[in-house]
Amino acid sequence: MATNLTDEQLVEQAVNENSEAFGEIVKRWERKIFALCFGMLGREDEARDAAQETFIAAYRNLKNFRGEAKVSSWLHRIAVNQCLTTKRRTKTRSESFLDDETNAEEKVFVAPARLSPARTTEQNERLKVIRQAVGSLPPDLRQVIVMKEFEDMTFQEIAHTLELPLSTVKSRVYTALKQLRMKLERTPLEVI
Amino acid sequence: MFDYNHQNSSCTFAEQTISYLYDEIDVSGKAAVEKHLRICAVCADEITGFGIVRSSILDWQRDEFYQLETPKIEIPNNESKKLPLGISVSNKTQSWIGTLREFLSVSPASVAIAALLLVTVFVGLIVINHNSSGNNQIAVGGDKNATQTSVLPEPENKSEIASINSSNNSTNVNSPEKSSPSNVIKVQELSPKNLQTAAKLPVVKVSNNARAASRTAVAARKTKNSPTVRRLDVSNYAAVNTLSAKAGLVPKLNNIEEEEEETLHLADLLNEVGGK
Repeated sequence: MATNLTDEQLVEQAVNENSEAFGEIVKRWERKIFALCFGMLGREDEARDAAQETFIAAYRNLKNFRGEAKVSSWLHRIAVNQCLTTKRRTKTRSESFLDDETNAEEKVFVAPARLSPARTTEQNERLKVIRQAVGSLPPDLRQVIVMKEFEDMTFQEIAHTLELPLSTVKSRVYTALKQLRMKLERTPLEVI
Repeated sequence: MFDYNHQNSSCTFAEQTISYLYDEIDVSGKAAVEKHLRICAVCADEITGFGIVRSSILDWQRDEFYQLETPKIEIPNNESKKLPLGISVSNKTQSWIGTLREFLSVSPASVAIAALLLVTVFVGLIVINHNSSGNNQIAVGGDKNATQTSVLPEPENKSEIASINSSNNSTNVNSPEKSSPSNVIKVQELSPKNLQTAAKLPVVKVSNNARAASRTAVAARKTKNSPTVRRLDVSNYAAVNTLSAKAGLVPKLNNIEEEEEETLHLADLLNEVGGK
């Protein structure tokens, strides 16, 4: 029954004390929000926490939700803010001895068993570089590239969600790819 | 409008190139870009470079993100209690500990009310229990009083008991459960079967005077509701109890009370006989 409703109708029902409506919103968006958080933060544990916090914050502010905005925009905005807060917190915690992107190196990556040790090391290096590169993008560029690559959204959907002109979204994606290419080229790795 | 501030490329095809890269371009636009890429080295180089970047991001996703399960999003109970909506997003079934915790976390006022109700119920039970045991005590005490205040001459009493005892023994040997109410003739329970049994019961010869005295006593009980009469009644029951106890019969006091007006009181008759 609730699956036929739009996100906005679900929020309206959730505000009117329909307990299932908010659950349906969560079901629809949890994977995408988790993907966004993972792309923005680069760490699974932090992404999980950020996704959880995003929905809690959304739940808290249900009554403040303005009908004119889209639920997807609202959730993405909350998620991005949550990710930025998490990043700031991580940065403060690690103080100045390491950049937060460097912290991502601590993550232990278990490669598939079929890869040789040399290949595994190389794979790990590649992943580390791309993670660092994405993590070093400015938030507005990082957000659009993560939405495009991780959430697999179209330019139109991103524009709709972020309430930005379509050309602005394309421009940001273009710029993000350009900066990523430069960062990856600065760290030469053998293309497999 | 395309924002050129972010890029160094001077090529006006940049926006179309990015749409081409993600395959979000119509057929005519696609053909135009492909035609442009053949003549523009900068755009061709960018397309190749962006392809490598995308491939790297895809590797990262495939190796790390795709394997991850979507986290179970749960709104904590305390969070949902703070809010006007009492909902829980969690799809998990609550454990019994959780249920117990939730049950115990109800407001102190309702706990106090529940405790008060429990205490009331307990007190009520104790009072009821006490009353019923008090009735038993009255019955026992009545027995004692009856033995103390009995004015019946011993020999006549004994013979009466003996006659009742012997007749009861002769009639109710095979059905001892029927022997208990034999002292009281129940008018409303005289079914044909009971009538047959009643026919076998001993015939107590009662004089007209005794009947009249009994009727008078019943009438007095009906009209007067004084404590004296009540006490007399109790002693009468006690006398019956004493007799039946001696005869090995245990009459049901409750039955006697219920059928007070309908039964012929043997004690009155005995009093009458004793008076003679």
